[in-house]
Amino acid sequence: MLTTKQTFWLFAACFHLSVVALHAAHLEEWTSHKSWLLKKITAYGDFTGSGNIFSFFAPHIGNEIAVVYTLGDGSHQEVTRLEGPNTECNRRIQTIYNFFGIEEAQSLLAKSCAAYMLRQHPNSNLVRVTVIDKRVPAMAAFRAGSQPKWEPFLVKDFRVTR
Amino acid sequence: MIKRFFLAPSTGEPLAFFRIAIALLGLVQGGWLIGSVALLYGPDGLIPWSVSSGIVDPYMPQLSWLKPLAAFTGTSATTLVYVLMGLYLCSLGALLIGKFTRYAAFIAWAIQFTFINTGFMGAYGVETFMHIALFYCIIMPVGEVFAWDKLSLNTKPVESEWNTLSLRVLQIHLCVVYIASGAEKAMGIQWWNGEAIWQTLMQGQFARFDMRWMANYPLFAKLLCWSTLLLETGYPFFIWWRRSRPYGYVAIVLLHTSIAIFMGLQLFSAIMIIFNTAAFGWPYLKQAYYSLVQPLRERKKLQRAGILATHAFSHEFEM
Repeated sequence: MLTTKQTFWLFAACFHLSVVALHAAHLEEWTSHKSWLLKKITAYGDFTGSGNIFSFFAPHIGNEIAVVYTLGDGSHQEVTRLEGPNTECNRRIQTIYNFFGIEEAQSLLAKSCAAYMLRQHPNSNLVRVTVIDKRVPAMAAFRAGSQPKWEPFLVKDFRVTR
Repeated sequence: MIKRFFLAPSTGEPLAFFRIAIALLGLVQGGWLIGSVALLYGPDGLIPWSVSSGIVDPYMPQLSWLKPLAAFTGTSATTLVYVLMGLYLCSLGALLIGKFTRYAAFIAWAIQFTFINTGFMGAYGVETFMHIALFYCIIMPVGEVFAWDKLSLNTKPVESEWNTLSLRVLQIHLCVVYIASGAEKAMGIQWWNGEAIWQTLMQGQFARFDMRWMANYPLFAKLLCWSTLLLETGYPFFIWWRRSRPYGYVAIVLLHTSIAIFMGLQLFSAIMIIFNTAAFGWPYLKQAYYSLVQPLRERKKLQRAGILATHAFSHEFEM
């Protein structure tokens, strides 16, 4: 026979694991209408870590995205990238850049990146943000001679107006 | 049966391992990123607070909440972010040694949550699992063994039903993670024709070795993809069956070790190995310790005792 304390914690554990399973099954995409209950479950999931989906490298592998910055002050130009020797920091920069793959996010993200670079390089008054992605051919195409190549898909210029 | 499965008393050693390993990993991660805090989480970082606070739900704790404090104290918001990071590392230190374990876990969880909400665009798997782990460190009895709080010569690890319940939660959570991850992969054609591994290893962000040779061995790439699918979707089955569990555990550890070596995702791999070891692998790790390390230590002790005895009696006996 279970005690009240045991029953409570067992129930709590079952509830928690159910939320884990529901979120893993993309609960939030089941309906476009977010009901009161769904909002509460989502909030519970956010706070407890039970609200995650686990689509790592799934269902397919996206292209690698990189950003090249061209900074200028009217007389000089400098082409640079943000990545440095810290691999863990680079991983996060890369994860941020992956949002360029979402069309709606491109403009805002480009602005954020440009603003950051201009703050880091106060002598520059203009920056060109060039977003490129790496197209890797399929194995069969690679064997036939096709090579991976970087192609720009977004170029935006920003100028300091102050 | 439910009581036996969830509430049969067991020791808290796997949970203590979980606490120590997670705290250690958090410290490594924090140390690794401390020089990049302003870039990743600062008010004028790559994704400034003005942008992140507009996207994240307002009820989620975020670093932009520090603004009023910065204005009140006259300190720059960036300095406060560094202070918070320092506090996070201190709480992880306390969690590591098991001092004020639950409070330390709560502080670490709250700060980590604040950081990942602000820097959500740069967060990846390791942050997800660190958040899960720190929440579990608050709720679960992770500070009952190998902890400063319980340090006494007279106390011995007690078996408790709450240890078992916690382990079951960890185990079932992991099963959901792997089966979901495997099912999502299985929905993509690239995981069936071998392209997933090829495409990943050809990306500069992951590639640690020149893997172009793989294009000449598509069957090998296919096998790697299939074995990943098999390991992930089959995880709940082989890890629950006692006979296949050790092999399954070793296979999943090898999978994550390969991810660390070939894709450079060391922190993510480490946290997954920690979860797996705490949930299923602790008995094997302990067994390996007693059968491999312990005899070596004892042999060394015996050798030292032999040398001491030789010195002590050398003047009394002719050798």
